Amino acid sequence: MKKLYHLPYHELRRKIFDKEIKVKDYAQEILERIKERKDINAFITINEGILEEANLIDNKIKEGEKVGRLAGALIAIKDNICTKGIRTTCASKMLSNYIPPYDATVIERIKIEDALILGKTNMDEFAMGSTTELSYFGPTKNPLDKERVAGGSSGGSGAAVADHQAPLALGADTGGSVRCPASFCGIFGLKPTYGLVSRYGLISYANSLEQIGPMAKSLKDLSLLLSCISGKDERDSTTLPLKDFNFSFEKKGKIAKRVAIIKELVEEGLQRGVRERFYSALEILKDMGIKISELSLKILEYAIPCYYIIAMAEASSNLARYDGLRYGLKLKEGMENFSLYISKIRGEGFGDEVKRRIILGTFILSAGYYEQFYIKAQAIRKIIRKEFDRIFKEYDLIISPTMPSIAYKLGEKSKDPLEMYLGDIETVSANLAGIPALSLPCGYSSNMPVGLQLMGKPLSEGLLLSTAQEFERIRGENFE
Amino acid sequence: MKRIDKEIDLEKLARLARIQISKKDKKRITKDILEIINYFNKINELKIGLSYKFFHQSALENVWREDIPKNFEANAILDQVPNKKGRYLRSPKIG
Amino acid sequence: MRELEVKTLSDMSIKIGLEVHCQLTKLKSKLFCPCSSDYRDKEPNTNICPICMGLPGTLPTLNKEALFYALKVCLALNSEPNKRILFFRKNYYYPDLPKNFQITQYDRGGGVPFSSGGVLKLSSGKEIRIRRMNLEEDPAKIFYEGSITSSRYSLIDYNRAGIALLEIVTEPDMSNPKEAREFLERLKGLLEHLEVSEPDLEGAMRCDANISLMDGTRVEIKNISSFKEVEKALNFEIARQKALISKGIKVKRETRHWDEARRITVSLREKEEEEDYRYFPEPDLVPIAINEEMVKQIILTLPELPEKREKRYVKELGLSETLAKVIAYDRDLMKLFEDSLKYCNLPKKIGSWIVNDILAYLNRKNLTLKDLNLDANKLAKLAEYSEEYKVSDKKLKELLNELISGKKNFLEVLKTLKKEELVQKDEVLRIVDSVIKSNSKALEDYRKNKKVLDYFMGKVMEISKGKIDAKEVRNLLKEKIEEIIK
Repeated sequence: MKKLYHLPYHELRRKIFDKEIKVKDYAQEILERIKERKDINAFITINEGILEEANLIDNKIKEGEKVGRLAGALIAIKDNICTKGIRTTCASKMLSNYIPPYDATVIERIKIEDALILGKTNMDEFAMGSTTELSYFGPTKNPLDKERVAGGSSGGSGAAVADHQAPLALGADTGGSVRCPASFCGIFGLKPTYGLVSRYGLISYANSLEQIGPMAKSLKDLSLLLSCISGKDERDSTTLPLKDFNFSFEKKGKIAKRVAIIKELVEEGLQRGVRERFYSALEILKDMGIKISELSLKILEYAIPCYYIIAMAEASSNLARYDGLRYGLKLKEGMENFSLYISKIRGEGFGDEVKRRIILGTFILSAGYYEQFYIKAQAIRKIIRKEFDRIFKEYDLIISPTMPSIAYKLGEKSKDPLEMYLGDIETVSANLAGIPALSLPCGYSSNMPVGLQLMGKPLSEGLLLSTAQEFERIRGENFE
Repeated sequence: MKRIDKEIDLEKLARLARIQISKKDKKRITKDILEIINYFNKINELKIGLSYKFFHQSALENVWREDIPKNFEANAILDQVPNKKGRYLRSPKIG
Repeated sequence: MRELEVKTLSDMSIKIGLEVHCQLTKLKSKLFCPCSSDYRDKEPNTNICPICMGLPGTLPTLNKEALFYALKVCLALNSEPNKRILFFRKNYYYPDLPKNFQITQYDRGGGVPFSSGGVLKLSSGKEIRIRRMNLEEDPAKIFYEGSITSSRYSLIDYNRAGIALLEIVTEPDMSNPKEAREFLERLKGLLEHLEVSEPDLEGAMRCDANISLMDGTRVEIKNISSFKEVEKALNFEIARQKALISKGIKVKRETRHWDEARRITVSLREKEEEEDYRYFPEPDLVPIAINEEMVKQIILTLPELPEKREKRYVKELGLSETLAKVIAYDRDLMKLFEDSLKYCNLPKKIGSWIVNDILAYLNRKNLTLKDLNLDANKLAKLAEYSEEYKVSDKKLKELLNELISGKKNFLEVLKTLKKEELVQKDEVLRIVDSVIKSNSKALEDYRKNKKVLDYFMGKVMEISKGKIDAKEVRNLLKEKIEEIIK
């Protein structure tokens, strides 16, 4: 029998409004599902108050009060998004006891829409990783194959949605952290245009690259959640001056006509199964009447070092605040000397990859290397952005696989940091250029899902979503 | 690209970053870091004019807020402080 | 070393530069968060929020007014604001720095200072060049359990963290400590006048100095708490360096600490490593483009600047150049002067009083204008009365000084002033006598009705045009009449 938790939110919503089901019963079911599937390790913390909160929504509906667009939606939140009164750890020992005194803007916004915070999901520590193995709370496993990773860094959110432990989730994407787990777990995930969604309350890893993004089982849910969290926020100076951004599927939206594929993203290093799925996806696009051209973008050879240089530089400064004085870890000894004490706190509180990236970032910004690395990387970033601008003058979308392979085996990549970085080749460009990128499932290889990535010019989320929807429809027809 | 191994002093970097690294981890971390830096150094193959006109990821300019004060419930913040004396935060001495 | 006298400063070329940090205390909120900028006298760690405490996930937002205040100061000092300002992070670890970086500007690495160039004139006419100004956030305050040396821990109060701070750096254009002090006083006057800061508030204006002798090594002095201390610290440092030079010892390039209690500068423990601040552009704040429109808007809000005011006092009000200069550059004196002129049109008299009497008194007693119970209204009335009553200058000065020193309150002073004129008692007696003589009928009436005294009073007042003490006259009249009718 199909359980409630299998349903996408938009179907649940109808049942909730028709008073067919109670939010509280649904929440109870979800909590049981999470308990049953504990070995996936999708959640770090569960919201203890969820049943009471669900009750409040039920009452509102019973009383005929007006409720928000996300009424009764139980949303899994990546654990680097601050939730007032609910522990927010960034999957780090450093913040393992940290309870934020405020809500992130996205949390405020979904609460206004009557959504419920289901819990906080596992991730790579401080979002530094592509597998969700680098968590203080242990790795998240791929629900489709527990020997494999869920992808990262928003692996807990990805696995929770794919495993029906949550209908919707929020992740955050710095270099692919929403799209990678979406691809590995076979769900939808979107990295919005830089500035579309407020970062206030998102614990910074690399400020100039990251965006909070929705993850869902259906495009309809994805776009609804995106609509609810988007728009100008006075507390984030980098948000774009947009109000009421609405991605609706009521009317059939315009879809892409001309699409580019980039040689540097589809030639080398793709797993065979991924390549096959990608090329059959191209066939579907052709069936949709889309014209596909292949281009070359040499500069993308430098995208990964460029991305990591900028990310690590920013990270080294963002993570300087964790010194055990105002919040976080406490040591009983070593209080004689400030520098020694905080060095010890940081030595104990951070995991290996975080330490590595902080030290590398410190190096990149240090006297004598700043120009050679940081400024040079910024210059390359500028070129990449310009090149994308140029391409989007002629083409509506750029498509590629989301990840060069299916979900890695546990331990396969996390031992060698450099090898893990190289896996981000498809995803980092969108962050460098600040453009939207959507990952959608496009088939299976070795019984594991493969993701297709659509990138568009800034604020083309609507086009990405409607093209993806049409792709889904055609693929469904073909399948049948 | 010339490797830049010799120039990198892990201890100095760790001191700058205030991260204590144990003796047993030092060798491994140094090796990882050297490998990564030399990989990053790949970008210096590319010859481009260094533009000092700074790139900022946001195309926005002149975003600000009005000068209106607002209170925050400070105790919620103090609750998180690991080491206190009265309402003061306690820190190890500098130096 | 302390007994070393600095006798001839001119025989060695001295270069002094200053780095002044001034809080923009007139703002209502902090630079990057909405916490109140009024942090003084508050319980520790009550004036804080997630942003200024550097809590995970928070982002800074720029206080627009802070930007405008900083621009005001730029324009007043003729410092050119840069067209496109980027905020930079200055990274270093210190317990008073909630994020372990400070948001400021940087003049290298692709950055520019908030403004470049500028000049402030001293009373001698000498121009001290401004090198640059930056707008940045103030760190928290550190206290010690017990004394700085004995305490084991630092105690931190973040109430001040994030207050808007203007950093003003000069060229090494001052050639003696006196000039340095005057520079600071003039700068203070200017900031007060622009209504961006109240530098007299504790810690609102702080200063570091650098000094080199004979183009030699540059030594920095930190931790100087007041303008007077700046002068003292610099004098000490000159003596110290001279002594070294005369012994043939090379002056070390270093940062020294002014120890106010011992009145010496002490070398800070030398750092093992050169500071590496790893500046880079702040990604969470967008660039600020200063356009003509903004500058125009600010120019409109600028008050009359001291230099211009000085000229106006001489030309239009007829003040001497000395008086004009003193008043125009001191905001409090200027305000007292200008306000007094709203009540009376006696600029020369008021100007002279303010400089020669009031300021002289304040300097003698080491007080400020706020300590006196004196306002523009009183000063103006006194000036007007003194004109009317034609009191001798000597007596007037005496009265003014009594008023300033608080020996007499304003009413008492006015009374004395009136009496002063009545000192010519003969005249009063003469009037009283003549009124009695020429009203013999009324004198008869008085026998029956004592109220007739009022009639005599009226007559006397009429003749004397009221410029007498009525009570005294009444007594005098009564006495005389009683004597006659007896």
